Amino acid sequence: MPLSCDAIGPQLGAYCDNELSGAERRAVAEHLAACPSCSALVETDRRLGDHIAGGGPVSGAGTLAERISLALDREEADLGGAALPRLPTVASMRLGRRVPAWAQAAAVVLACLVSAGASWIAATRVETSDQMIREVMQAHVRALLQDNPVQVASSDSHTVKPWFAGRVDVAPDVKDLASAGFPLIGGRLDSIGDKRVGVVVYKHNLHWLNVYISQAGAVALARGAPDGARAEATQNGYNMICWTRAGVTYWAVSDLNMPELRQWQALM
Amino acid sequence: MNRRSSFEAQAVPHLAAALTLAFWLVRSRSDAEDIVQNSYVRAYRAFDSFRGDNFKAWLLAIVRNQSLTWLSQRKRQSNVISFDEAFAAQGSSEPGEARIASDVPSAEDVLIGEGERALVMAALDQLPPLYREVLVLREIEDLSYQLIASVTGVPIGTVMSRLARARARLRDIVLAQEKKEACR
Ligand SMILES: [Zn+2]
Repeated sequence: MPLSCDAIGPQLGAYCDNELSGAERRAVAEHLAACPSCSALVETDRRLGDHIAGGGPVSGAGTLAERISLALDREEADLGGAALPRLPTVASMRLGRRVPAWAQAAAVVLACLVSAGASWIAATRVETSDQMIREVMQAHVRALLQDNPVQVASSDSHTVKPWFAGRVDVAPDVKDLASAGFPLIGGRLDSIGDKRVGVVVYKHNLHWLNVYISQAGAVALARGAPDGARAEATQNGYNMICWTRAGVTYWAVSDLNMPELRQWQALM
Repeated sequence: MNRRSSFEAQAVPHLAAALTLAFWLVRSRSDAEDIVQNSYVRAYRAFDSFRGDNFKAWLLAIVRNQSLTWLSQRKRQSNVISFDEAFAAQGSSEPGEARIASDVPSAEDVLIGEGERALVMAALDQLPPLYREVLVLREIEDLSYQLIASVTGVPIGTVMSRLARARARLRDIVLAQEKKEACR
């Protein structure tokens, strides 16, 4: 019994794209041989697809290649090598030798600012960033000890993102990166210092990844941070990347190693 | 080969694909170039940790996410933050940008059904971004459903149904337009 046009419809494209096999493929082929109207649809779609292939590509990427090469030069100059500069760890700050205040400030400036302007430099203090790192790290460890890491459990960004509306004063970027190995687990509320913050929770294999979200400027390290600013820190085996975008500061903490954490962050 | 040249050897060949994808998502050449540049810097930072089996798909996933972030930020500026809007039709609210179909067609392009191609590019432009991207990845980049799935972060079944809906929508727009012109 041949399938109806309605039943076959969704598979026509997959058939033409060579994405069907076995019985499915044979069923569509049989139907097409007997059905002029579906054959006409396939013909039309193929023609329109050819138009997209012919008229869609954007040419002239050559100048962009030069721009990117310069941007990578700058990136390498900023980084002074492969790794990003690091924020001073809490341990090193506490136990560290006395260093002149200006040197501490310079260290943080180097650590915090990857591609940032001068405004953040003036506003950033060693003590406050140190405290902020410690508090976010503590919040992460606290969360790991809880039975239930999320208040809204969903792998659907369309469920998790709206959940934050009215609960925190920012709308965080929430992405389901399951296909990249970082499934979305859900969201919850937490507090950093005396401020309520949103937390988006991801997982990578057995590792939890907590992303604390706050309005840029509401926390000390992020005050005045320009969009695109980005920093990394390591403490007690936990790694952190923080960045600011569109008025929102993100603090991602995990026991993932830093390269994995960077790989995840590149997708955000 | 050092890290930098190894990255460039892998990433530069995909520059046209990256630019094309970004362009069809944000529909502005200069914004697309900024997004691609930014994406390449991000990819370079994370390059050491790339373990996947398809570099192009990973790179395009970064470009794609950066493009959608850019789109959602523009929405946010107009007080609309729903990500679901990525499925909503664009309408013609931005007449200034809506007509940037692509670069000047070659002579050969013009010979092959000039009229219909222009209609198709205009119709593609009207589709929601998530439909535009599957069509671009399939028809221009010739990616398998598996790779489209890893670029867009959805299951293969979703790629199949989304592509079917995108094609149906495109077909409806183009055929309706052709009918209208034939009656004129
Ligand atoms: Zn049929």
